Amino acid sequence: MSEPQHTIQIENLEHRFGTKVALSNISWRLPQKGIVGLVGPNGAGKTTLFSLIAGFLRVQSGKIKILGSSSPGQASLAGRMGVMPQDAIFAKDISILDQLLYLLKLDGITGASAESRVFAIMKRVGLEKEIHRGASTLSHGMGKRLGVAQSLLGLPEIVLLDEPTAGLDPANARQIREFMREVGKSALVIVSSHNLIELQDLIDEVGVIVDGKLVASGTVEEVTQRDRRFEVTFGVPVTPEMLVQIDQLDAVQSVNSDSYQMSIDLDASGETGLDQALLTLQQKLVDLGTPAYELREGASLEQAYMRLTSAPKNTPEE
Amino acid sequence: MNKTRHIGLHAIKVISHSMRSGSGVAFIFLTILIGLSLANLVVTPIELELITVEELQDSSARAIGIALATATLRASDGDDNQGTLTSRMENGDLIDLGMWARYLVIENPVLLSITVLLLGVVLPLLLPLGSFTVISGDVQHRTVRYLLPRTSRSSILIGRWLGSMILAWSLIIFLLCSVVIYLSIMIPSESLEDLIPWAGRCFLALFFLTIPYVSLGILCSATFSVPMVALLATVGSTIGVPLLSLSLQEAWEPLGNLLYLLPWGYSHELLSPTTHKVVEASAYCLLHGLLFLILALLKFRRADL
Amino acid sequence: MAANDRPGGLTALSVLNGSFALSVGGATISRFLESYKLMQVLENGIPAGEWRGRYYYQKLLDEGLTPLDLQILGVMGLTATVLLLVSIWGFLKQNNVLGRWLGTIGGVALACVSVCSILWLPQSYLKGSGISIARQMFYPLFLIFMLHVIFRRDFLNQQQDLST
Repeated sequence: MSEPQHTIQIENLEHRFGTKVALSNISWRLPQKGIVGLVGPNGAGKTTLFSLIAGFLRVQSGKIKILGSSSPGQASLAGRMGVMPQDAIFAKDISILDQLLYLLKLDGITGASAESRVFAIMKRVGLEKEIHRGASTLSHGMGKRLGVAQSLLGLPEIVLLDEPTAGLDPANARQIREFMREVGKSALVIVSSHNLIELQDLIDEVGVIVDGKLVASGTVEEVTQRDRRFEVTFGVPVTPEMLVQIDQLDAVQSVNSDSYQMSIDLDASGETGLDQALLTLQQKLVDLGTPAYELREGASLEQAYMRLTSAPKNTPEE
Repeated sequence: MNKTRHIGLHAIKVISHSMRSGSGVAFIFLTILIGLSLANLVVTPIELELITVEELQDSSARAIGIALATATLRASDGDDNQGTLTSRMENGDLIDLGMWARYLVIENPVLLSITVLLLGVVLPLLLPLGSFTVISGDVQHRTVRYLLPRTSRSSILIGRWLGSMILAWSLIIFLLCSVVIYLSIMIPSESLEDLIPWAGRCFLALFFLTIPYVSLGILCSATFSVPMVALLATVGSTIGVPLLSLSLQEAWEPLGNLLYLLPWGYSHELLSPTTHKVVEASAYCLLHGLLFLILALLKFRRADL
Repeated sequence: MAANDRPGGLTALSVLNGSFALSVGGATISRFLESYKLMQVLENGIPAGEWRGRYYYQKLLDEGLTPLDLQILGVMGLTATVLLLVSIWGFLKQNNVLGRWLGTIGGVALACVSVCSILWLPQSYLKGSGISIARQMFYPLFLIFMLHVIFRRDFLNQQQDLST
């Protein structure tokens, strides 16, 4: 028997809700492990794509192959995928412990090992004190953490997390990110989020969905290769003249300032790429007599996202 | 193997959840309360000595005979005069119905028979209370999304159907046991030796009767994602089908067969004295239940959850 | 945070407790009133124009029923009513002592009232109320089962939360 592929292959996927096209011609191959980000504006189709992969929605057109299975929702996939849906609610009348034990029972794990796993994972997401409570007593952030915990209970090979850190305080968000990193070493974790700065540090690959279409996908470097944002700190306040001078450079797409700091979006798509763009920028700063005290890379993913999501409005054909 | 285990787990979950949820406790309690109240209604006139058991047997034999004639749609020959029906049951072409009524109230313990006949009418209206949230509740709150990556849709549906059935059967057993124990203690004419075999037979009748109605509840629960709509649809169709068929029958007789959309048309035969009729009625109940279950499965497997 | 994590079944059980407390309370009042009537009959003979029939109370006396029997049943009924009513608060707050244990004692008291009624009261008194007594016997069993099997952990966990 051949080794099952630890991957998701999506081919020509289309989905409609009535007459509204939610997803159109999506083709995407996802790696065996690592963390993949799924980004896009509200209503772009991220949750629809998640729901199709998870088997909540039936595939209308196209194909989704998961872990060697020809379609989502097959019996062979049971327990191999963990999903944190965005808007699902745990049952009201049953304690969290009982609900998680029930989910583990479905995964074939029972008895003391199941209980210890539940306690361990709840401790990991900082909810060990809430384990005997009903899920309805949890705050929004706690509910999110519980959702993440249940998705990772059965040590799945694929984990789908829809906005896992939305509404969490920084400490809890960090805890969840660390957890995802750890899981991403042995499983494929797909995360949808609007927090692009957070995602940039976390993910290995990214897919950008706009208006139901996958407009970019690949490693973060591939997607952001021509969109590099740099934060430059000066010893003097930034003047309007400096802004104008920098903006005039060919490699600079846009520039913004905040007292001693300048945020510069470079176009690194030229033949000489990023190195040449950086060299030109630094030379110009020296010429202006305002050398950079500090120059560090900023949120390139956000820049790429802005370009990709606004591209249809700025296309030359219009 | 895994699927069977999952079905068992879902069934147990439904039973335990029913005990913990408000609607489940209400269902359990109402079924017992109404069941015992029906028994009380039957027993009270005897206890108060307003009527003797023999008089009750005599009057109920006639009443049940007429009810059976109506239920079997044989009373609609333009000859619905009660007196004529009674004489036809005693001597004429409806003699088998007369025998049937005698079998229920004279050959077997009358109080238990009447209680079970009343239960046969009331249970179809009570059973939806136990099944209306079984699927729709989880779909409405999307709780089912936590299960879908771990188990198949058919396991969820069949498991929950089985759990609802087991709960309903347990309540029926409890009800019959309470009534039998009470009758054997309080009514001297009803002996335990007569009551137990008849109670077993009555349980079988109610056992089969439960299957299509619970399955109908599951079908409505799988079709409508709002639990109250599912409840209304189940109760509405349970009451609506006989009302509709009876009123349409007036206009055109074949439309009376609409009654067979639900077991109303044949469920009385579950307590027939003729074995083959009982077997037939039980088989119809099973088929009806199976049909509703298959429809529910088709609906649930294709649904966007 | 949401208001509470009380299971819906426990709320339903508190409603049922309330209705049974009311029905036992009603029966308790009638026990006390009838014991008063019986005492009157014992002291003054059969009163004229009684609504339940002139000879009803005399018949009860003839069958061996004493006012004390009714008063004991009344006190038991009163105890059951109070326990059931107080335990409602315990159910709603998921308090282990006031809810689970007081509810259990209330259930036992309710069962005792039913059993003692069957044992002590003459047939003529019980006529027509037979299966309603069976119904009252069912509820304590149901209540105790629910409190000690289905909702046991809810009460214990809530107690643990309060103590930490």
